[in-house]
Amino acid sequence: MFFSQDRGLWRRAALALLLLALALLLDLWQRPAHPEPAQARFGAESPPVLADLRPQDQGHIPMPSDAAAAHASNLLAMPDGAPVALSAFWFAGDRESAPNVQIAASQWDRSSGQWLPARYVVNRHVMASQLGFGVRRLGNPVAWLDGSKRMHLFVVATGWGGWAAARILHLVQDGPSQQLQDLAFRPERVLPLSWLWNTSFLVRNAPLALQDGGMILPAHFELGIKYPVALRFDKQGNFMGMVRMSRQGHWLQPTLLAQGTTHWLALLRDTRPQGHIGVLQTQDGGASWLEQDDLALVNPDAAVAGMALAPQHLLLAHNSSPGSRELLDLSGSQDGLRWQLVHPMAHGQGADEFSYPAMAWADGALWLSYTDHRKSIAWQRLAAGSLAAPALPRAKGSLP
Amino acid sequence: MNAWLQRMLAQDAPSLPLAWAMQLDLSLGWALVLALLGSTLAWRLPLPQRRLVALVLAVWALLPGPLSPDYWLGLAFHAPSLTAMLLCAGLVQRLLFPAGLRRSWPRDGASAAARLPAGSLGLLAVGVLLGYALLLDTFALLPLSLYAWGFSPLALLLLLALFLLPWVAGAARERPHALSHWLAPLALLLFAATRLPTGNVWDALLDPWLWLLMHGLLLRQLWRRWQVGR
Repeated sequence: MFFSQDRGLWRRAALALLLLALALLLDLWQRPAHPEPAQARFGAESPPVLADLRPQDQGHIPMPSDAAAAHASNLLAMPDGAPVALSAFWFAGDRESAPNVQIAASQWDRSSGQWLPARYVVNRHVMASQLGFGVRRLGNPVAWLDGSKRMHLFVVATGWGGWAAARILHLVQDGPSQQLQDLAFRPERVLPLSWLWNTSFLVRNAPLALQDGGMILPAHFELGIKYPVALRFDKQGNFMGMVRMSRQGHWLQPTLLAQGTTHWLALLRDTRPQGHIGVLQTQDGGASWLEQDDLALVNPDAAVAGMALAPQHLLLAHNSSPGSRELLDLSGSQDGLRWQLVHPMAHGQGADEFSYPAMAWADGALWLSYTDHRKSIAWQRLAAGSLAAPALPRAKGSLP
Repeated sequence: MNAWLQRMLAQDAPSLPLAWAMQLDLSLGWALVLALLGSTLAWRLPLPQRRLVALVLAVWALLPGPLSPDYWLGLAFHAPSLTAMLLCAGLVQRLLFPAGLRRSWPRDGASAAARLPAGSLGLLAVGVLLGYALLLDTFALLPLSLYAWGFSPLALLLLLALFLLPWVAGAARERPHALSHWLAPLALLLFAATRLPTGNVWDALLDPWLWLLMHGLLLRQLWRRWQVGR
């Protein structure tokens, strides 16, 4: 009796081992190659002296004719040989979170030196029909070109509830053309980021480009508490995992700046009253992050946008008044910790709002965009050299 | 050895399901859930009519577009876990085709949940605790990223070993075909093959609705045991 029971045990154990081996083989067989440690790629091959950056041109990006409100723009530098230098994406509709909000786009035409008339490129009903389930609201587009120069768009797509019920929808360029009139996207997937019905992760800021052609997409969680995460993608745009950057409950919308290939900073919006821009640092290409002291720069619970043109050539667009979004500035830094004003982007008063900046480096110039009173998207171009637009005050101090 | 261990622990090379497979999984998952709900709520009806109710609800969920319930359920909750889908499929079969599973389930009409052996009760408790851990992780209240760990091969391997353990130890001998012994291992094997529903093993094993249901089952079991013990 004992021996027969014992035999049964061994038989079951052998079968269990077989099942484990089968599961492991199936699992490993389907996985992509293990990626090399992430190494950042910088935005500009010959970066300018930051203090020499001067406004060259400015204006407003054309809006779709029926859009009363616009917010959360994102700029994407296009390949050198393309007829357009930049693609701009933002969400537009009757108001933020309105049912008719869509993702609008425009492009800077190199030959005419103008923005092309905007058109909508992502509609929630179309996305829902392709996904097979509903999308309640759209917002915060973030664009990226993969290693094959194929365009990807990450947008916030909400389920039941507001932004806290949001998910990150990964869209991929549908069709070969990147010209504005042809530009279309199809859903790749909703990124799997949380066990709780995959809520509540959002994107806002531009990715950090990697040398392997992939990127790190900064995102954040915001259901009740806020915390930042970093999402890695390979050069084909395949999701390669996530790293929680901090467990502090008041930081969101990280923007990533490379100091070296594996030494990066994340600067963060702070939801606390009287908050300052938060800082995280990684020395191992984003595998682990350490909290640093806040910057001296104030943050009125407003989005910031940063970019590293090259080591020690760091730029940050940020709201610089403690309790409002009436001042929007561009600052520069060598170490990412001490910042000096490079250019006052927009200075208003009282209830004026200039917010949600974005930036890109294209055609040897720094391009900035931001929300102007939640009604339109303003843009500016800065480059080293002579002034082509009205002079603006310069910062004191030294910059690279 | 070190490289092998690193590969097993790696969270940065996940394999995710294809878009069409995710869409099919979502529709099929909610079709099974609705079929179970329909056949349970229509328990007073004769069996053929209960089958019809379940079929109509399942077909309704499989329809595309906003007129289908899975369009809205997917909006709010995405897809059910593979465990929930297998549970629903098993219960639908039990409720609507009772003769086929006579060996697996009590014939006296008593709920199978009322007779869970100690091993199954333990697994139920593990599932409930696991849900709490995943919930805490969602709100960054754990020092490690538990959800991200669900992208690693080791997570699948350890979970499968854990849920096969009661069967290996002989806990399934009394009722070898009972769903409770096979749900989690089968879901994990299906996950290994298909990566559904998201590519993360936690989503395949346990979803928040199933987790809430497990609370009810566990409390019911504990209450019955306490009553018997008293």
